[in-house]
Amino acid sequence: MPFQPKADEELSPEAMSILRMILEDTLTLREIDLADTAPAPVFEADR
Amino acid sequence: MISDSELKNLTFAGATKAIAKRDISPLELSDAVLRRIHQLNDRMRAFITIAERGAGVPISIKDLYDTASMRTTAGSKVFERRQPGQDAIAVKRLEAVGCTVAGKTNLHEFAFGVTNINPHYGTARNPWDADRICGGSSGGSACAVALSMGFASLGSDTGGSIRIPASLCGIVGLKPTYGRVSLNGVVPLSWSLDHAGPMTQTVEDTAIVLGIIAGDDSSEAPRYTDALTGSIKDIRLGIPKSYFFDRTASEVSAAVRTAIQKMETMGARTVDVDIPSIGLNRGVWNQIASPEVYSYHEHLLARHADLYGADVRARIEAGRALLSIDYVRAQRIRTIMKEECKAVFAQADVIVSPTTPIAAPYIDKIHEPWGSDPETPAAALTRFTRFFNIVGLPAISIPCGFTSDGLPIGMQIAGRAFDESTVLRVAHAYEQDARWFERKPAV
Repeated sequence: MPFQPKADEELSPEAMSILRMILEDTLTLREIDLADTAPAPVFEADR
Repeated sequence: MISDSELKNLTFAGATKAIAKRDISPLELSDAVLRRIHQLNDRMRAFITIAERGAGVPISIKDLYDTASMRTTAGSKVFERRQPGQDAIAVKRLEAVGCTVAGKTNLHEFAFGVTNINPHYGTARNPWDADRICGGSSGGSACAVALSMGFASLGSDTGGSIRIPASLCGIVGLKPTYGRVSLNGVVPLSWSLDHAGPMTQTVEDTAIVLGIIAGDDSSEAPRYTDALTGSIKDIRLGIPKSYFFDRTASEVSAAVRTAIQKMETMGARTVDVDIPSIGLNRGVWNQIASPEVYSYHEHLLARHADLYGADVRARIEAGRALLSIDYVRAQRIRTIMKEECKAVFAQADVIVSPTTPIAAPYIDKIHEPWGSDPETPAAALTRFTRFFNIVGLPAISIPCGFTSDGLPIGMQIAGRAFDESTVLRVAHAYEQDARWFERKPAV
């Protein structure tokens, strides 16, 4: 499943082309085994 | 009356001292800057809104920051008449120490792009060649500082928007550590990637302005100028083994390598460093930024879609169709990237690279490949900067030379979290030795 079902149906051709570019990179990210890595604390910087 | 040539030789530090010594009156200085802005703005398009008369050290503010005295458009028709009730915290802090806002600077619409080609308020022009872009999204700020239309500016940086225009316009731009400078009163682009920071002519000015705007209301302003010792003896310069010098214009690569050699002669040591996940940074950035951007614009788009510029609207809309699991995956890879940076900074004090792979491209060639592969200039410009937004680490761009066409080249120096002092120390020592800031645009 490339992205959210049906959510792309009303996108403009320009937005679709950007989405396709993002998807290429996304497929690479999906291949990575993240084991038990937790998400980064989004709104904090690490000291 | 202060002449243009006198203005061009004044820095933020110099202007502050001249006012304190009563060599210049704040009113006289403000009038001189406003006069210069009015002279140049039709051609350079650096400002969206120009202030009425003020008195103080004149600065400019990216039109993404709220100001009580002037509208804040975010570079968009959507906010054409948006009048905030109060100043952003960073603006308030600068005004409290005697700065006056001379105007609100042009930007890529909603700060979502790096060309500063703005369909609503005009294309901000490069001060070294007006047929070229000044970069973005804080392009008007960079143009204003380079042409002495104010002695400092506040920019914002989500993927390179302070450092890229600083590099292309030959000035200094610092993206501080995430959380170092308040984003209160700054129109968001992507909450977890946005950073506010200073853009100035010199590293000393950046250190001074950062000292004013950093921290929360309760904390005492740090003295970043204390770090400007002029010495970089025994500093370990981390030189990336891969990625950061790849697919880079030869003149850019050569200028940065020469600058590194110069720093070695000044006592610094070089260390090869490696960030194994660096190649994932575009994918991670897009998966984090796109949904965050869309989330902010969801309701605005529903009401005002026709008011957005075509390029920005398409980029925002794309964020609607991404999966939340991919957002979380990107945040997990972000953790890995942060850990890799900690390992790098166990071996090195800073990471040095080009800020951008290319110098300023022509406006009318922005969609054409710049080199032998299909990459456009707009895509190339963020290649070395956005990683430091993902990991939230401080990174500065300073001039390190000029191309044979007379265009500035920028060098990026990144450091540990909340260690802006070391970044500024290294940047200042090199700057004072190389003295590129003495070269000024002819305008």
